[in-house]
Amino acid sequence: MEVGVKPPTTDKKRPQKNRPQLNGFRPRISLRVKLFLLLIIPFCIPLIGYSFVKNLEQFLRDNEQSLLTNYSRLAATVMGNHADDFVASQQSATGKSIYAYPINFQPLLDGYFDEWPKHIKPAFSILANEIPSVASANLVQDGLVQNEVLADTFLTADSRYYYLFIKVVDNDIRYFNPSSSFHHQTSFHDRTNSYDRIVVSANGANSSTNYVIYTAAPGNVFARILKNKDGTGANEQTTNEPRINGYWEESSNGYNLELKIPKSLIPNNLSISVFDADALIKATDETNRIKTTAEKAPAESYSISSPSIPLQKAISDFNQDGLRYWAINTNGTVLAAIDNIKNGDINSERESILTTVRKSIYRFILKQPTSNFADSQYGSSHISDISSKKALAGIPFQSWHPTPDNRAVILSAAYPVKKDGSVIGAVIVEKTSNKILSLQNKAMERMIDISILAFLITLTLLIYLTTHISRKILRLQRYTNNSISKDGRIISDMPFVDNANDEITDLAHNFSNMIDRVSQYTSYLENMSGRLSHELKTPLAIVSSSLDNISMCEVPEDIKIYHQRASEGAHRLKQMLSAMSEATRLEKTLESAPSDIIDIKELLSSYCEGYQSCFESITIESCLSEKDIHIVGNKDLFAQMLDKIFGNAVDFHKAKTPIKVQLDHNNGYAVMAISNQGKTILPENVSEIFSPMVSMRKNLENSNHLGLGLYIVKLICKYHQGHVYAENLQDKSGVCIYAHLPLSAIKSS
Amino acid sequence: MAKTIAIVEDEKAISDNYSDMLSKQGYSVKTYASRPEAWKALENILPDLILLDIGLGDEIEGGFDLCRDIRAIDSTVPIIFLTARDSDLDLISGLRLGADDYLTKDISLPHLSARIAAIFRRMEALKQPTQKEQLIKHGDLEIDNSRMLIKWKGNLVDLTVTEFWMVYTIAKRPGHVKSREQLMKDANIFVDDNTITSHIKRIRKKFAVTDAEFDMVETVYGMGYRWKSE
Repeated sequence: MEVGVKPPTTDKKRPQKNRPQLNGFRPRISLRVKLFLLLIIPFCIPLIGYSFVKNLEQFLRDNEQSLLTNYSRLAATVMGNHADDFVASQQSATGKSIYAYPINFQPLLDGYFDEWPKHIKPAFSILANEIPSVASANLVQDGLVQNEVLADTFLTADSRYYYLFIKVVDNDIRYFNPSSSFHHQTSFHDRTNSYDRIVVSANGANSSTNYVIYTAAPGNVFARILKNKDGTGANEQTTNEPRINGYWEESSNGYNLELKIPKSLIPNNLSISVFDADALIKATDETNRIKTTAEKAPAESYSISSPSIPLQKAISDFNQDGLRYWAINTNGTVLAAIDNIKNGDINSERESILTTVRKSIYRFILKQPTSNFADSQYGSSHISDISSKKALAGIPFQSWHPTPDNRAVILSAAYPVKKDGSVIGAVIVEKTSNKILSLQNKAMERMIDISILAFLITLTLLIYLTTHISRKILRLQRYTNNSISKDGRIISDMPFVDNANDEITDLAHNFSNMIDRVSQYTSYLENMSGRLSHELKTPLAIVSSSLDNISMCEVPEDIKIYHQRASEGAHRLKQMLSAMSEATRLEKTLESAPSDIIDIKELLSSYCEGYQSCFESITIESCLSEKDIHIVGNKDLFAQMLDKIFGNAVDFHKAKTPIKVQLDHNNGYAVMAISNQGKTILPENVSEIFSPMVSMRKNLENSNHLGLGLYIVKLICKYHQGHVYAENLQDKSGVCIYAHLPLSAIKSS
Repeated sequence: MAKTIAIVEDEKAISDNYSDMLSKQGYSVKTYASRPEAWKALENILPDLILLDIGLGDEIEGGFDLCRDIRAIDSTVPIIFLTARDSDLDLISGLRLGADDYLTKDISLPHLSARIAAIFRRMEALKQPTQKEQLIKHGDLEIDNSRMLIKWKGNLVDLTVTEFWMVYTIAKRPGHVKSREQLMKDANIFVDDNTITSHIKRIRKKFAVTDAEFDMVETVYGMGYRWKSE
């Protein structure tokens, strides 16, 4: 470079500001991380809410547990007043006891088990080898194996009657034949062995009465008292017992007998014997009737325990929805119970559609309280779970246990009933966790509602904010992109308009200001050569006018030589100044230059001719396209561009070598190449030589140039929407300057 | 009586140089450094020619203002702008305000004095009847060299001295190309290439005012300009 005025350079070499590393070190958090952290907040709400609800659940459970314990203690205290009943139930239970399930309706005597409550379990079962007559014969009857169930008996009681249901397995049902009446039979044994029957023995403390139940056909049965004082069957007398009613119905594998017996007939113990006629006959045949006494042997006797009425009455006072009370004796037998566990307050309010939809979603997510759970304990006769065992050992105990189908959780609190310091029974209070669950669900639903609302609000705000910000940033980006052209010139001075008052707007304004300042500076630089030449003209005018004045005076010869040198210097300065202003003037001209469709082939060929005739020492070899080549442009400007390119080529060409001119078109572009042999351009300067104030004429004499010639070429090329570049010839013998100019779509006529 | 010339120029060294040179040539010269000072003097007595700088001290366009004021009181006194400002805009503005010529300070003193002499000569010649031998005619073109007047198809074309000399140079021998260098020399102007181009452009426009079809000044690319031979 030749001139002291340097083109503006980018500040690549400016030392990087050191970030403070040690003092006040702040970790760099990207915007994305910040937004992510912000997004986490709404997710925290449900987590916090969930843990709160869980805490609430624990609190409610504890509360419920202590409440229930209080209930059980209160009930146990009240039950303590009826200590006699506990003790009595204990004492009466000698031997095996069976439980008469309390029922509050009268079953229909029809031989069908359907209307009997499902929770009732068999009071006892008669096994195949328990049939008195068969057992001793050690025979297997009816294809049944030993110890297999022959008959199941079920026992319930209301306040006046016992109800018995006996399911008997029998492959060959033999009914009583009325035609062979009692009186005509020779042997009771023969007679009695001829039909199936059931003997119900009611055993009092001292006496025992046997009732034989039989029938002639399915339907109502006969019941007769079997007087059997001497223990033999020989002199057996029977009398009718009309107070016993029953119904006989055949079943798929035998028959069912449903009986209704007044409580007064069975004072305490009960035993039942099943007589299977065909088995008996068989046994008789095979053992030659050896077991006549055996059939008289009493079947196993069971003491009937039924709920204690005073206790039941006492416990009824505690009747409360959702609670179940048991009073048990030390055996675990239920003495009194009141069961309202399934009567909860599961509310079903009228709800709007939205709430219904919402609720149904919650129902899907959350476990709902239900009274429709499998209740294994319902109507139990005997309780032996952990809490009752603990209570019977004298320790109040609470436990949570799920129902078998896992649809609910039951809290049970057991409290011992004591008399004189010794445990005589226990009270168990049970409750489902439904209330807790519904409270918990309500809290959870509310929490979810609030979370969703908070989430939606946050999300909406975030989306709004981010789109707002990103749109602004994009706008700013577009603005900054549009502000500066590829070659670093400011092309837009439009201010960034935005009414919002935030950092981005500030940034945009800063950008705007910055671009303003840069554009001012750029225009200052761009106009500098023009202004510089203008400023320098006045002092130069002083110098040259003074020199002119000197030349008009008589000056000594020895001074004249200095005057001549000064004049030459001033002349060179003038040339440089006019070159400097040329580019500026051209830029102004380009703004308003008219353009037309021009044939550059014709122009170039006449230019070459003209140039050749002007500079006879130079050879121009032109190789132009045969066709006309039209571009949109300005002839004068194009000629001016050619002046500069040719001037450059002539200045650099090696003497007596030709300057080659080529013109062709390619891909919609006119391609002009003007090459000369001589000095090559250094590769690092190839892109720079078209910049203003860059000249390679270091060693050339007479250098009045400021490196503006090729800059003018570039400006004119740009005016024609083309581009210009320089390349060294392949054999490094010289330089070629190429100009690509878009062809005109319409050809001039 | 010596011709009087007023120089309005804020740069004392320049105005002194001009004044010295012009005094030697026999003119009576007065210099003014600012617009109010110049106006105060010129308002009453107008000189025979005024050399005017555009920027006068703090007044960036003081020269233009002064020119306008002078033209308001007298439309004939020759005014030459002599300025460092060489933009086309200033040139056009100056000539539009009624200046007779617009010269940049690049001009050498001999050229300046030739220009002044030419203007005075033209003024003198305008007072004399036309001398036949001074007339050059090429088709529709008529050049009166002594009075520096050019007629195209009988209509006067209003040219400045510089423009007249340029037309005269290229039209003297129609068909002959005059290069820019020759034009500059013959037209006694010192301007850069672009100034020649803009002068040619302006000349064409001035001819076009009288004749829209005018195309006699032809550009020969790579060489210069010529007057079309018929």
